Amino acid sequence: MALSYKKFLSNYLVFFIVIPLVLLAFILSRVNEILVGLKDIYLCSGLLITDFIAVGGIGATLINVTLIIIFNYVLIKCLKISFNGAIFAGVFTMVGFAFFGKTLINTIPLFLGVYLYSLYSKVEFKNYIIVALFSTGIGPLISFIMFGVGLELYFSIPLGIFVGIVVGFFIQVLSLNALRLHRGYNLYNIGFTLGIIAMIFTAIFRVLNISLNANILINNSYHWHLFSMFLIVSIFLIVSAFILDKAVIKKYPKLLKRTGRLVTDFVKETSLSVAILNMGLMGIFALSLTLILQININGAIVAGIMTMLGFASFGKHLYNTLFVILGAILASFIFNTLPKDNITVAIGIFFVSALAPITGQYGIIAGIIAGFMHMLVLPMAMDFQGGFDLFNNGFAAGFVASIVVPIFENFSLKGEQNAKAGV
Amino acid sequence: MPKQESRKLAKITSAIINYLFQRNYNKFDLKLNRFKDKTTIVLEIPDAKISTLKEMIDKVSKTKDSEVEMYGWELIGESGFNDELELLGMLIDKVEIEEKETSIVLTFYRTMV
Repeated sequence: MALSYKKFLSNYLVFFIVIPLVLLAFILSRVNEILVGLKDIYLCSGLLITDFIAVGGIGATLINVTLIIIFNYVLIKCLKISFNGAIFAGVFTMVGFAFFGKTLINTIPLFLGVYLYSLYSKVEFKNYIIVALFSTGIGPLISFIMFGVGLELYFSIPLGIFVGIVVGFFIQVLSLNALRLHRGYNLYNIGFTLGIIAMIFTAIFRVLNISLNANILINNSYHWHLFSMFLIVSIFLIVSAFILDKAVIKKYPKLLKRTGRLVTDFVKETSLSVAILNMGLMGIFALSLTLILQININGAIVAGIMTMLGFASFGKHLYNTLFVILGAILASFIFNTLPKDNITVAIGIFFVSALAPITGQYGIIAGIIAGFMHMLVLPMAMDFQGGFDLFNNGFAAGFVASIVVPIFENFSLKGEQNAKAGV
Repeated sequence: MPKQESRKLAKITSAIINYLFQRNYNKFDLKLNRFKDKTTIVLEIPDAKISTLKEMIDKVSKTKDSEVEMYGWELIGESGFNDELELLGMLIDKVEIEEKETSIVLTFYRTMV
């Protein structure tokens, strides 16, 4: 039973996600609205913060999400890659950001760039799939060059594709280098890398006096639709975990002991059932945050919740995430920028979980401090990278981790004790 | 041969040595044989017991994962904490254990990605 259900999950789950999405799209929007909406989504620059529901409507957004899911599923199947923690994290992140900046147009050139690098380095492309999946976080740079700079399309589209390929080509090398700065304590390492790349392009555009038109476009009208969707997904994951292994709850505490530092693959280090249970519980936790903090779910928040779900198989769990989020909430209350009133803060509450391994390694106080600092750095990070890096929180978290980790390492006994105790 | 392979091998040996130092193993022999597309690392630790090395053997013996290897190998040797062993496991194909009268010999096998 368990084996066949596992096979079902890996082979057919995608259809059980895609079919309801398509049906929902056509229930909530007419065909012509979807087509016009898709055109608007594909032709917008997608700079932060652009909620595709506000740009093209809910129907077109769901179809965009469906296209992204199908593209990734086909790619992963063609490359014969099995679902591990990192792949779950990458795919869920891609799907989340398909509500909020990613389209096929702006992701394919980046994949091509990573593919060319695989040819150059004589390593199979499948070995770079994780980098390829996360590289798409800089999709708005490609869309902006294509449709936002004001050049003629016959010139801007090839230029956008070219820039995407060049950026994709170098991401692997740059991301490895970025790891050394934060030592694996920022789970969105590629977000940090992309932020640095985006910073260079922002500087170039500013020198050329090209306006970046960063604005906030969000649509909160579908809060309860999206809330219900995540509730169903979370419950489905929890039930699936119990179908796979009836004793899964007894094994769950083992996962909570993991620091979550990169590269922690919960699927491999525990089991698929334990990882899926963690994903479901993290989904419920994220939804609870929206209720407690009165955060409306829009495209941007969907990305935040999806990323929490995905990384629940690749480093995040209830214990290590809770305290960085508490630190972020504390900062928002002290500085009177409540998540319900400020979308940047609301997004930060979910994405601050990138720093979860700091709690895992150095303890509760360290996690709260890191979460607090993250919220201070976040607005500056946005200004630096111009809104091209969808993983703005990954960019900010990279700086925070680079600063606090060496300090905690030198002045905290917890890490040393953990090492000796075999944690 | 991919350019990164030499650095990966240096990091693997560094992580092993780092781990042993943290467990107060201050005397051991480490021999590395590098071939065209594979490498073996032979580690001989005198006066050691299998039980004390069990954690290392278990974690390093986990399945190799080339996708995750390419994503995170640079982190090996960065912290010295135990999660390094899982990282190490992603780069190692298998570990063989030989218990001699006065020492333990661990042989790590790695095939280049």
